Amino acid sequence: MEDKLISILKTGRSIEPSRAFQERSRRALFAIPSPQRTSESFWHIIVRYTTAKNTRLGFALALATILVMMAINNGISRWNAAGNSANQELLLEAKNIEFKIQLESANYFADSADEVTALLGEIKKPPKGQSTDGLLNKVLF
Amino acid sequence: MIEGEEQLIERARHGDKSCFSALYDYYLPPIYRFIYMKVTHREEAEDLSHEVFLSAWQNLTRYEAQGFPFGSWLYQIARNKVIDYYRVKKPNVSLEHFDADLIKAEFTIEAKADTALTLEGVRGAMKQLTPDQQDVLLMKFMEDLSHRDIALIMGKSEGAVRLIQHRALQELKKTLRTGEIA
Repeated sequence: MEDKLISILKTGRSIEPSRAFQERSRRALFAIPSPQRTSESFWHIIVRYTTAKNTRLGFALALATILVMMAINNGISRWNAAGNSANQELLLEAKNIEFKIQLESANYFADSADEVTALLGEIKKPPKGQSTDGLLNKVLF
Repeated sequence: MIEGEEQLIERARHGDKSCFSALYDYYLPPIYRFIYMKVTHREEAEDLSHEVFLSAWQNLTRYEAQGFPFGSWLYQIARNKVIDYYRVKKPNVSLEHFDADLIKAEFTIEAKADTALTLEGVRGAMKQLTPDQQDVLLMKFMEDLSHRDIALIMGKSEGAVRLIQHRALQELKKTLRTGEIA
């Protein structure tokens, strides 16, 4: 029975599309614009050459691409490294400025504190001939 | 495989309609047969066959040979079109198109005399098989493709294809013996 089934299936080879359909379909098919290859990507070219006849050229192109990419990558790394050192210098400078500002502020507060203490003592016990209001004006202004 | 196929494809990819026309003439009959055996009506087979070649024409620039025959690519498109067709439209094969009683009677006679089987009867009985089983039987016995080519088209191993073929034949014989149809 299996052989019979197979031979029946083989008779299916006689099935053909009608000529009318064939012509109609062909006309409809070619009525649309042709799918021209507009731009082939670089990797497509490499793959095509590698898998088709010109294997050597394909590999050469692939190797050249890898080398160029490595060179570009190396350049970018160096650029980044240079950029990083410049950044570090700037940060150090900024920290120094802040440090100086903090020291100057401390000195100012230390000096002014002594003066204020002395003046407050004078207000507490005003010397003869000086009024408290006069001393307060001295402290405040 | 048509003679000078690679050159034809390459020129067709650059928009040469006459080259694609040559490929169309060569591959339309097998693709049409394959689809016709899987759908219900001739008109549906025509529509789907046209869609296969339309997709191929529109996507030809994406086709890369890579040791993959052009015919295999067309069969892959055809398989997907048929899958989409059944996804959209629930098939009501036996009642609409086939005379169930007639085929059943034919199977019964065949079981006794082994003489009454026809292509239409087998086609009807094949609807009981899975899509993969149908595809393997059609590609192997109707189109005489090798197991390797079928495996490539279906994305399976050759061993898997042989197994599907064996099971498909067993299932088809069983269906024909019992006269079960959809």
